Amino acid sequence: MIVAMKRLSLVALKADRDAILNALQEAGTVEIINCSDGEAANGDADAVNARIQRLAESISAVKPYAKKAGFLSPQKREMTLSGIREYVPKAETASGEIEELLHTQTRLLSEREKALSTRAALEPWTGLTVPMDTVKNTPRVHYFIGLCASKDVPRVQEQDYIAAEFLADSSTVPTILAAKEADTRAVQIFLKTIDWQDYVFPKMNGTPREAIEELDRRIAEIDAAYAVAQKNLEAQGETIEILQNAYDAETIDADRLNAKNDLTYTASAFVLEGWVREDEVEKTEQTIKGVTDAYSFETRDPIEGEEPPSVVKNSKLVTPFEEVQTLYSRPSYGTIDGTPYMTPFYILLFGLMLSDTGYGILLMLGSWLYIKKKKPTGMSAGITRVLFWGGLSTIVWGVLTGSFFGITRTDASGGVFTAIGQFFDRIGIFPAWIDPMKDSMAMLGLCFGLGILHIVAGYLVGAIDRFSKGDWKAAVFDQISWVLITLGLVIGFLPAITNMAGSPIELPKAVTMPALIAAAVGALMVVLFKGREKKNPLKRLTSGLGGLYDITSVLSDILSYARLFALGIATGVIGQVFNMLSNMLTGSSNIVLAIVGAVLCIVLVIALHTFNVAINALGAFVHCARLQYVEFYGKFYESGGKEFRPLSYNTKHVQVTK
Amino acid sequence: MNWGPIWATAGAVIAALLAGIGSAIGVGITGQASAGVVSENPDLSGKCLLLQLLPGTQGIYGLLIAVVIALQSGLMSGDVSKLIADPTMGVRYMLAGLPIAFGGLLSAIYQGKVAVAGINMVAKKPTESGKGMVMAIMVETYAVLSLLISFLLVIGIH
Repeated sequence: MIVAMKRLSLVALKADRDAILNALQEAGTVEIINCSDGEAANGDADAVNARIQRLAESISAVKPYAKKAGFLSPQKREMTLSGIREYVPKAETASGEIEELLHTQTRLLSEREKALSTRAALEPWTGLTVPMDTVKNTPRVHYFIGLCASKDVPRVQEQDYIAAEFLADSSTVPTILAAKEADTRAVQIFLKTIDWQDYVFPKMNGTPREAIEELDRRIAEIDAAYAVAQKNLEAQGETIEILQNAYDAETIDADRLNAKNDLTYTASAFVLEGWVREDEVEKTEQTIKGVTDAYSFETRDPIEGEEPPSVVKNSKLVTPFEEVQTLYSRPSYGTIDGTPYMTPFYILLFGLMLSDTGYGILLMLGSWLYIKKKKPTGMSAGITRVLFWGGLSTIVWGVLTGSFFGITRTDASGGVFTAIGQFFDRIGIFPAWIDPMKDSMAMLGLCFGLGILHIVAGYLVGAIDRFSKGDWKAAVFDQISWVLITLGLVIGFLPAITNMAGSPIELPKAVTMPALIAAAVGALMVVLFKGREKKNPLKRLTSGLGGLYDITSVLSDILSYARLFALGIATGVIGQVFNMLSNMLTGSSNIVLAIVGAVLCIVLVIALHTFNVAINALGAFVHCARLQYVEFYGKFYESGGKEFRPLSYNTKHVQVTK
Repeated sequence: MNWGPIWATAGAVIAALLAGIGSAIGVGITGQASAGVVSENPDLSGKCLLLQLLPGTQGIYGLLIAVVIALQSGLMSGDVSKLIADPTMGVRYMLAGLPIAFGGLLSAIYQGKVAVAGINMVAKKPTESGKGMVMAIMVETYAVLSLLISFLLVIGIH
């Protein structure tokens, strides 16, 4: 159900502000509404946000070098608030060092880049055997240094006022030209007519070859320095826990500092406006009473135009399934929480999609182990519990439809698999109900039947909700009418439909006739009352007839449940194929090969079935969610609720304990 | 020429081949998108992987139909006497393989495109990955329906 929210107005003394916010954050019950005029600059908050940014950068820099957490170690460390605060100074130092190392590395990389490009440009000039600084203009001679295209070399040689030295034989020839000072201008004009590119020697001593050697030495030095910095950075990997603890401590502080900006102030008091869950009002007031007795604490119901956050509260079994609902959307405040209605269907349909006892056991054990060891929080906590219940349902459906790691009663994979299949056949209760491979029409019928049940339940939930709000017209004309139409048509035409499928179910006329009449009554209600708000009778009728057209969407909703059957056989048959593949490795007459084959077979069976259960559990999870969102929630659910974000310990790496 | 076994083999081949191609394309494009997102934020690799897996199922469905055709028609055991006696049976196997072949091929490609969009969404809003998955699964519906009709037709051939 959706929890009622209260609007809280708290007035207290400025002097008590920090203590009150501390206490409220620890209690985690109040979402503070921003009521400030927006200009309250808060230097403290800016500073702490900057520190958080720095810590986040440091964490991502050293993360690759940190010791990986064990596969089954808890997601978050349990620590106290004062415990993680102690790490802040240490983390400050560490992140300073890490930043320094990162800067050094960037600087070294850019120096290396520069040295490499200088070296590449010098490469063609190794033919020059005199030091580079000797090639410089004198009062009487002007030098031109550059790269000349080889096709233009003869033209340069033709110019009798230029003395040319060609230093290599390549497509662009490194060239040094000398001319009298008086001819400088003429040479410049000539060079414009050919393919010529000026070059300036780098400011280095010695011949180009010596300069290149010098650059190589420099690059090696840079590489060594970079390696040292890298090693130091890798050593900083150890500090990741310190950084993460400090990150969470600073985040907690930042949240509280930011909250200060949301308050409004008078000279000596402050006003806090916020949302509190109705069942936590008492606790919140006690929290404040624990700090001071100079306060005014008032709550009221939300008024028209306000949009309180939407929180749902359910029993322990149903709570994990709230995450499935949240994946779609939170319910709009004041409407209906679908979780308790969706949960039994989710468990039922999930199991039918996997329907393999072996896979169910794997899924149940796996998620149980994950919950026990990893202690997941938030969304993953919910999802693993959903998978746990789904696993249980899968075990049951596996027994009902007779599949165990892809092995069925009539298994033909050979070897030990067939033996197990024959065992199932002998005990005779596996499958306990339907063999989908043999009796596929019955199985398909079962899926459609469950679908009809699901859809009708959706309409009924909607009807109960409308009734409880006193809107009986909506309940009867928009919801009950469709229950009549759906059930009436299904029961009325059941003999005809099943006759087409080859195994007719006979129903007496005394059942089918009233069913069809009920469907007609439902249809009449839709036609007459769908457009009951419209004054114009013609418009009202058109709207009603249009509403009747929805019958096609009900039909396609029902057909959509065929996926239950298809995904079920997909899991089973693929499991069987994997058994068959693995079995091909066994049965060699050579004893050594037989042993090797058996070992490989076991390895392969484990790997392939793990893959199959993973991909099919993903498919079952998402397809089952879709059946809830589209086929079920489409009948009654109003989405679009806002998330409740109370001021609390909103941490990433640490679970704060008392 | 014994056309019966050839037609039946063609049915198995076309189901596994086309659906497999579709999944390869779908998983391929989502893999490229994932790599881009993960290079920016390695923490998202798990969520991207889930989205990348979604267009992979059509290939499995194609394989499934191919295996069921091979088992049912006797191609697997080598006993194809029924197919030789009645070659139209082989044609029926081939036709029964078509829905998952083409349904799988095209739905995997389009599901891949939707999943790419979902991965881009995850890059911007990591908490919304569930919605991306649901969007992609909407496309898969039609692969599942193709699988269903192929399966029912194949096991109906006696």
